[in-house]
Amino acid sequence: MRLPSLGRSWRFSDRVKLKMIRIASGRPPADILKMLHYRREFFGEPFTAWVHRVLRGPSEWSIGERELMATFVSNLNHCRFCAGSHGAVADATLGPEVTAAVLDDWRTAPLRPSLRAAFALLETLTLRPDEVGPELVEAAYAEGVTEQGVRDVVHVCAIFCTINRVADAVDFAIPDDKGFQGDAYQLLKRGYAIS
Amino acid sequence: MPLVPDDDDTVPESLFAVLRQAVLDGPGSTPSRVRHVVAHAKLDEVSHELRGYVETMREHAWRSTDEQVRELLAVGWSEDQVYELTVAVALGAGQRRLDAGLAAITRAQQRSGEPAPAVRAVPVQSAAAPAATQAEVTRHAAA
Repeated sequence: MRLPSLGRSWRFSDRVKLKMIRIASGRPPADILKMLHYRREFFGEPFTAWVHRVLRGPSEWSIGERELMATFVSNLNHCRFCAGSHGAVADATLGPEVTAAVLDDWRTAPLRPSLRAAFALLETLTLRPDEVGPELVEAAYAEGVTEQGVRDVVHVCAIFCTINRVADAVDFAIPDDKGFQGDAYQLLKRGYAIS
Repeated sequence: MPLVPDDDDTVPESLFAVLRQAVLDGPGSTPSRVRHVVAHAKLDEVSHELRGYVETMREHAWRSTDEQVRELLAVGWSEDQVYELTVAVALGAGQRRLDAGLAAITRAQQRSGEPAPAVRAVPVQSAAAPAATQAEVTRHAAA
């Protein structure tokens, strides 16, 4: 990491927690875990509360679909860490062929129409937020997405347009495939909230 | 501007507001006003060495480099301050998408003729006056 203090200054209970993670997984905790526990009140706690609610809370989108959206936004933002991390969760829930098809071209990927409409919104909102108009929302409604469903899509986009930038600025180490798969198992089992 | 239903502090909009409060107005090594300025990418109000970093973070963070962070540390920003500013810029980019998406939902409601649900706006605190903030940014960078 470019800011070494993020990886060594934690409260006592978090030092113990991260040590336990290291023992249980047999490898050092991911950089993002170290960062989220650094001055956790500033960013880690409120951020993961938001993320957990959006990615694991009640929604008309399945957990796998929301993780696929996270992967898609991260890929558009060229964030290798987040695309790999959430791609592994999407792979585990929807199958790697779906993830690969969406990243190749969401327009031709085997998706239900409502999910395809969500990707249309995500693409513009991520790359050209000033161009997002009511038409993309109405197109989603036409495919059966509710207003709350659109709100969830918008929040997934906002979350990953935030954390992608932090991940790249701080320069998180990129795990290998096995590391991503191990982290995906934990994210599916435990979710995101750190408090 | 995010819209928050009146009576539920567990909806995503409310959780985002809590995060925003912590990052931009909570305790930190960098003055709150400076965090607001970088979050809103008011590039003409930040010092030169910080301007390039904010611009990179906002538009193409994957191109950020070790050198950019080293330069900030070399001119006097602490690691803690660089971290706070990094998170503030990133959150500003996220909020830009949130605001644009929620505004599109509101416009779709208006076009359909449906009444908008009862909401309240999350107050957005205004940033400092440009001159004062510029001075503050420069002062902290040089401290």
